[in-house]
Amino acid sequence: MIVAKTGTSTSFELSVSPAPTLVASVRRFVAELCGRVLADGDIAARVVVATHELLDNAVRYATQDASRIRVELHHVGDDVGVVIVTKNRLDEDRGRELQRLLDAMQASPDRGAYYRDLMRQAVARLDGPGLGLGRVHAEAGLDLCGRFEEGTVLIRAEGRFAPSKGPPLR
Amino acid sequence: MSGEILEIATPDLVTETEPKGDRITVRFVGSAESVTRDDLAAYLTAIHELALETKAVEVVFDLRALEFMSAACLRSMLAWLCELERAPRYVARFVPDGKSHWQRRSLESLASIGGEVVRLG
Repeated sequence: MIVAKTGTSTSFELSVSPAPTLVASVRRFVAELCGRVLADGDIAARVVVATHELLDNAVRYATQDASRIRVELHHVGDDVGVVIVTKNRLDEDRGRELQRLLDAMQASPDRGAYYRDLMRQAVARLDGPGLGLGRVHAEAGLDLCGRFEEGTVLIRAEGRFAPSKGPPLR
Repeated sequence: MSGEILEIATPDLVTETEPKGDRITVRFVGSAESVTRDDLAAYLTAIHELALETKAVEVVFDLRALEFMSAACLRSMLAWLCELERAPRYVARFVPDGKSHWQRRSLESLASIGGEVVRLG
């Protein structure tokens, strides 16, 4: 793992073997990190939820090797910029399903309404990445995009938030 | 602990169920990780059956000791809520950790789907 703090930015990158139980460990590490570098609990909670769901998807659907995650926190004036990137191997069918999902998410004018649709669809499906990514989009408030190349998928979640001066992370 | 309900007792999540009068109180302790999804789904089915058998008017979910709930487990909660919404016999009330930002957002999401059968706070 690499953790870097340069000026007003903090980032780390981690490689996780396909073990779903490790996702909680990474989430707790990110919560601890956010508690140290972000004064705002609301933004920190967004980062924690997004980290969990993105890594959970990456680990669950990775076809081989390790999944990688990078989390960046940037202080931009009074705002906080958040970038989370995951990278993993993925089979073609899953890749097409993911691309359709991300396209529909980006095209939706209303995050909340789209997420409610995803939740209703999720009830009928036992599995699939839709609900977790929808949660990143709607509840964490991050924009999502994906890049697919030669069996590898890179998901990028990004957002910029004004601190609310709320209570610390819980 | 009730005699009818098989509690969840995983390293991540523990449930404590207390039927009393016309109310069933459920306490979640720990974190509902993706690997707990099937356990949670089975538990919620059992809670639903117990609520029908005992003619409960309310099932209270005390989430104050819940660290996190994954989307996989939210899916199980959604399935149970939709089942309840199809034939409303009781109300689901969620008691959140008031300082938890993720709980506030996720419960608002659940409430937006659950309609009249969901109460927050």
